[in-house]
Amino acid sequence: MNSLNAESWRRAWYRFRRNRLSVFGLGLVLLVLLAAIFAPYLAPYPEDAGSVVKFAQAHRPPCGRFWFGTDEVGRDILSRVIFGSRISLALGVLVLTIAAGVGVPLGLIAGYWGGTAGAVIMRVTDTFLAIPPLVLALAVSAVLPPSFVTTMVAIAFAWWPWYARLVHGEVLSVREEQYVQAAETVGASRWRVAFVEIMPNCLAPVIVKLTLDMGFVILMGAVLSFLGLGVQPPKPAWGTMIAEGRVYLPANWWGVTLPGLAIFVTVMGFNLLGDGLRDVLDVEVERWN
Amino acid sequence: MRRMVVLFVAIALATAGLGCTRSAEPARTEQPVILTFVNTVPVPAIDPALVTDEAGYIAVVNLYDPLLFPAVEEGLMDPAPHLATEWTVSADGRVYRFTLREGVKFHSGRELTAEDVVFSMDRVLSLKKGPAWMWLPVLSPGSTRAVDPYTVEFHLKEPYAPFLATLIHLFVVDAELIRANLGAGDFGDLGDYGQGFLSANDAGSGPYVLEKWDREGDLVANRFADYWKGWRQGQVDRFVYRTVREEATVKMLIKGGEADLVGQWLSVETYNELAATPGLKVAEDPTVQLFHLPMNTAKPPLDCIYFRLALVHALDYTTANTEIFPGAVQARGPVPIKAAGHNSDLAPFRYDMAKAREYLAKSKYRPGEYVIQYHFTDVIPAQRKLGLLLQSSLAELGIKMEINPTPWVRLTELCAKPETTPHIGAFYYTLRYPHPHSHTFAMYHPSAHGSWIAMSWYNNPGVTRVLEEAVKEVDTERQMQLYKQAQAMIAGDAPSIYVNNPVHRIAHAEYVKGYRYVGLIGYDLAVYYLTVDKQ
Repeated sequence: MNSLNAESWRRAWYRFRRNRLSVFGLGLVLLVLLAAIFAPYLAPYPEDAGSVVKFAQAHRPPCGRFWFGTDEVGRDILSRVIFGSRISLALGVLVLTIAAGVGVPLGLIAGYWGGTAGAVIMRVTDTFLAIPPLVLALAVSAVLPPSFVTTMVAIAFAWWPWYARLVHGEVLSVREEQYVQAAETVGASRWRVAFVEIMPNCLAPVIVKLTLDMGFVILMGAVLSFLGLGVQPPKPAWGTMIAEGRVYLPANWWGVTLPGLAIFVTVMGFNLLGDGLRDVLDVEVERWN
Repeated sequence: MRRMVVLFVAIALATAGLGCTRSAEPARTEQPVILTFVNTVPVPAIDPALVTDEAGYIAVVNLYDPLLFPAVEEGLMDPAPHLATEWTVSADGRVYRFTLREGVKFHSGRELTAEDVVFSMDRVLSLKKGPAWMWLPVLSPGSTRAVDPYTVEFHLKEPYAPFLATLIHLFVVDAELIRANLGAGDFGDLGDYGQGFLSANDAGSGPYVLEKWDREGDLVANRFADYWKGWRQGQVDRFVYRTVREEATVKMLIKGGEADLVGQWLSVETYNELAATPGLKVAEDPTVQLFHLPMNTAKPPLDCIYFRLALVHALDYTTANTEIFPGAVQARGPVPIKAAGHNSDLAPFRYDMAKAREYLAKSKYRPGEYVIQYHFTDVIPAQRKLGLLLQSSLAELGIKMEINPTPWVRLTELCAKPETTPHIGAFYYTLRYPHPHSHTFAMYHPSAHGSWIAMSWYNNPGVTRVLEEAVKEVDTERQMQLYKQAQAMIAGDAPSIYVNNPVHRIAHAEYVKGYRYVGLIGYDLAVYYLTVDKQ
């Protein structure tokens, strides 16, 4: 990994930049990130993300005062969408931290140590992969009381096996490399070999997968909160906003369409960015090996 | 999302097509008249001994005949002759003797006799569910007797004021049909008392015969040709109860003519939209229904009266009754204002945050000590809005409240035990029979505990005593005095936030005639009284 110096970063950026779609994706992601960070300053009515009702201005269509219109109790939808980005991003980051935090070490152990432990880990992984992630997440959230943490745990539960399996595959090829064998020959401990020699060299695909998965995790979080298993009202989760707004379709289209658009933009941004990163990192792997 | 959009497009296209053919089609009398009723809440049970809610009663009222029927045709709620044609009451008020109508046929073809009435009453009393609370205090299996095939007697333990009124809930089942279809169960010779059979079949004599009932789905029933009241031109041949949880879809169905009648649980916004749609009518009636937020008095912090009083003063009733429930009248105590026996001396609860803070300071619990759980029926938007309204003012008091959308059947299950009962629920409680007993005893007497109706788990021995005394009181004036006293005592303990007596809204196509708001649960949708005139 020490070959990732300033020069190689510059080249990577150059290659990334050549793909316009990736740059567009990056732009969308930055937009969502900025919205999340500066939500209290960007939102026209920041108090609307909290516990407040303003019945006098309920069901207003998009206009100069309320760019995204207002919902059933008169809250500004734009403000809620902006604050909703915090929930979505936090969910994505936390879920993937857990998923990768559990999946990567397990995959590493299974791949490098092998033996019974490896076999057990990979069979458990296979079992989890056999269950549709949404069904698994629904089952977990049905058992636990609905909350942000529940949603997070539920999705992470469905997600870690992908990382275990990805890393396991990578380790199988990397552990035959000469530098690994060299490290083993000079007497490095197994832990050192696993975590210092092998792991860093498996990370490129993990990073790409993390980026691509951000979009999917956010989408799944929206699905769960749409089904009423997500965050508690009045927290402005995008899925909940859509679920509450759908009662007033089709006349009050804005209550569903605009939060839906936020999900669309975020998921597409991460997907395009992930695609771009994959191209860049794959090429680098070829060059440096 | 994408699926929903596709669905809407599909429905829009389908209904656009229907709209054209419908108006061009000449009325043909030989075609069966189908009435499709669409509701967002499913029918949870069709067994008359198990039903507790409106959806269940809609099924039962159409499949079975009660002993007495409210005098709907005169626009009254009072019990009027139906299966029973006349009755006498003994001087001590303990023995009721009914003469039954002759020639009433069950769907099986058998004639309905006094034995069936006895069997039906004993069945309810033995199962101890559904309407059993209405009679358990005064009757037990065996105290109903068939004198001859057309005479039946009820021997009450003591005088029971609401008895006649409650008999609109005694739906008579076909005893022989049930005896022939017993499953294994805890009732000795009677096995499961026919619960298995009646969860998929009907054993009634009502105007409609069950064709099929999918749990949580459609219920279809067809006209019973031998119905004792006979049939007139234009009455409904086939009654379809469809459960559609998506309000937007319900709207599309009635606008497109695929539904003829939709239920009372939609948002006011939707009714306003439907009222403005040509060909549709929205019937609005001030109700004898209570909408309230019962509080679980068995669970901290709501076991403390000061905490409850704080919550009672923290709801903005004006906003609730103008913005969320337009046209609603703020409730004064548990008994609906327009119902018999209401105590008009009761003052309505007031929205007063200073008072709320005062009470909170007196409470043994600190505001942030517990997170209050508010549960409402997930398909009723008004209840969610009310939750948000309450949540916002509780936040000012430093009380955290979580809003939990819960499917109706699940909500009723939660209320079976004090530990699982939420802190606060949101419930409509429709009058069961025209007597103040309906909105006092069933909600606040300990013998009614375990039903969602009594989710407050309220137990005040003083109130219990007054309620028991009132039931026995033969002198009507004195009796009503006792009920008024009970209402005042109950309201003083604040086991519920009495929000309002809302406006009852229902939307139907203009060609559906004869709809009349009755106010007694289920009876609004006695399909026999509706006609369809598409000309």
